Amino acid sequence: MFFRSIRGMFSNDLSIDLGTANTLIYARGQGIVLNEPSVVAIRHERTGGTKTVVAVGEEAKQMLGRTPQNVSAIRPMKDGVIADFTITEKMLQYFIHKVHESSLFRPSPRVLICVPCGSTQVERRAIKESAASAGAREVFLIEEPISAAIGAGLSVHEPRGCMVIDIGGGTSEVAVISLNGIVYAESVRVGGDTFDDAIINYVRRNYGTQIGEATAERVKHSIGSAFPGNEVLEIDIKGRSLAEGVPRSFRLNSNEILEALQEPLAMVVQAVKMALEQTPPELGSDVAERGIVLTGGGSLLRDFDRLIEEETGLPVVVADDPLTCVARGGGKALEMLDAQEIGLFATE
Amino acid sequence: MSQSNTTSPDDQGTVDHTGSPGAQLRALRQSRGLDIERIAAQLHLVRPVVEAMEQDRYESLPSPVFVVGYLRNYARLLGADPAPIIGAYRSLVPAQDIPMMTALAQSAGGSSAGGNRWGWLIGLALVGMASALVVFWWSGRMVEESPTASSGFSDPEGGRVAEASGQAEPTGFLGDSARGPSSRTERPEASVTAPIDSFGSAASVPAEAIPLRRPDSTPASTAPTDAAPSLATAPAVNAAAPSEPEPPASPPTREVVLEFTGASWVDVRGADGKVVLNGEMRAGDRRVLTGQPPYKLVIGNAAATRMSVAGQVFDLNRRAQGNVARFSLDPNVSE
Repeated sequence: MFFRSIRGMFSNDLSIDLGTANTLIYARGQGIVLNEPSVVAIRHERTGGTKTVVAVGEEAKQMLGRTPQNVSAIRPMKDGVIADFTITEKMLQYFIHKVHESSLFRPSPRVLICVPCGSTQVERRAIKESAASAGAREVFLIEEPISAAIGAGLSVHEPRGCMVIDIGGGTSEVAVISLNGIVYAESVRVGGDTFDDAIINYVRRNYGTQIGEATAERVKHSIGSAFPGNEVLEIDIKGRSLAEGVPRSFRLNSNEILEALQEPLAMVVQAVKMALEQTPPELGSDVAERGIVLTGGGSLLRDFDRLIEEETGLPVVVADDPLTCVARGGGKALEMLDAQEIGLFATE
Repeated sequence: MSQSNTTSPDDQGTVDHTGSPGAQLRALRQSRGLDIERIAAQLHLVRPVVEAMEQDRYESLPSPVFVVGYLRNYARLLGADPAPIIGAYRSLVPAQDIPMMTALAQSAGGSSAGGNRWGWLIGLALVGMASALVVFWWSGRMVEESPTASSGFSDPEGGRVAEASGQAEPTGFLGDSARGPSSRTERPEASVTAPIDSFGSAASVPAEAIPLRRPDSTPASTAPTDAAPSLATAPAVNAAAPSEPEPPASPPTREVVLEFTGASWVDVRGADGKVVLNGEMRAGDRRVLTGQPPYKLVIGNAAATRMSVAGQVFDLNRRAQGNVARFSLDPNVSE
């Protein structure tokens, strides 16, 4: 413990957005220092049955779906929580070391981790212990909507309600915040990954062709949209024909993807409507007056804000750099650690 | 779900990017022939908010995150590129943090930088302290090493005597007496009072038999070069009467002298196992034992050896088997 404190003097405080799709790290005083996919490639040794980490982050993501038999590229996070404790620990260890590459000592930073508000006590404890095992000397948890709101630049301390929708990789959080606290929060296990799965299923159902996650993600980024637009975009992709068993090329357009995404999008819209229903009237009028803020990588889906806008009849704005809002908000909360603003932090 | 885009992207070229964001948006709206009510309805905002945006009255609008969002939506609704309009807004209204955040960020930021600086200072201080400790320990070890090598502190006899004298210093003094002669010489010990009864005659022991530690500058030994290093030539003369206060006294050891009338092999060891005298003696040699009594003696030619303890002749023949005498002798114990 003593040595951890010593090493801590040479470590930066970190805010980690340990997401299903991407892990972002904000270092105190430096800003976002890491933004890598939450993917780890593991090699299974033939002798002894041991596992070795081959690659982490971007490098591992490129291996997804392209690995030989003894290597598997996996996502240790699922639905915003830890699916594989050991691999998550290794991944965190790698990322923490990566942002302290110039450090002489083994880093032992104070770490703030953003957790979905719908995560259970067991899931939170797992995240906390994983970070501690990865070298953190102190671990704090903050709920993602609060962090996202702070990162977006909302005045969460004011006695005014503000609604935040954070569309992550595994979960979407809808929350109404006032006076540094969550008045109402709902977490639905729908996110970017669900959109990818929806596209994969759509293509398989309508084209009889199997495509991989990476291809589905590329389609989503290129032509995906949440609301019908003026122009129709198209993309040529390749997949394996289920009937013939050979690779086949075909063309998808944005209207098809919109159709594919209807189900997960409806779930998010339903969660937002539910939140508005459950919000106390005073706070609801605040939200109606100013609008809803969208954060998270999922909000980069074309016209997502317009979908929410049309469905709710309220103004919806997308935060600046929505992908990093949670990590940046966590970073700002980190700066309040010494000011004892403990009201912001979540308990297990 | 209504389609809210009212213009084609081809109209983007008509935007004047030189004015304020409000002016740009108003010009665009007017060029499209749209009234402010319709814009407000399509943006799901109230009319005063749209008017405030067009008149650049941002202080009456919510926090910047909302204003940027409104501007972006407004520009997109008019079919314009939002980036230059938002850029113009940012240049007009410098990015400012939330008041609470700013205050806390400033204080925390200061402590962060200070923390790093203090971290390095504390680290350096720790390294310095560790180095100092290592040097201190090493030098202490070097100082301790030489006395420890020849220390007689473990000698039970010395311990017993020291205990009897009731002083700490004599222990070292007695211990020293077991050392080689290289660091000692003899001096009179007239004021020594023997605390042990058996030392009753100690006061009359010749002063030269009492070993004392002297400074290193003292001549190492007056022993003949062919003698064993543990020998001191007897009688060593150092008759200077000690007028200065005596160091803590120890009971003097009675002198044991070996005189050889013929060649004889001799091995004498002290109580501490150290060799006091070893080798072949020649006729006419005379040796005084200066080691730690009691001695273990092996005299190869007892017939040609004359031994005296405190001036009194010791009969070797009684101890000899054949011509070799093997026995232990404590000169301080009268037989």
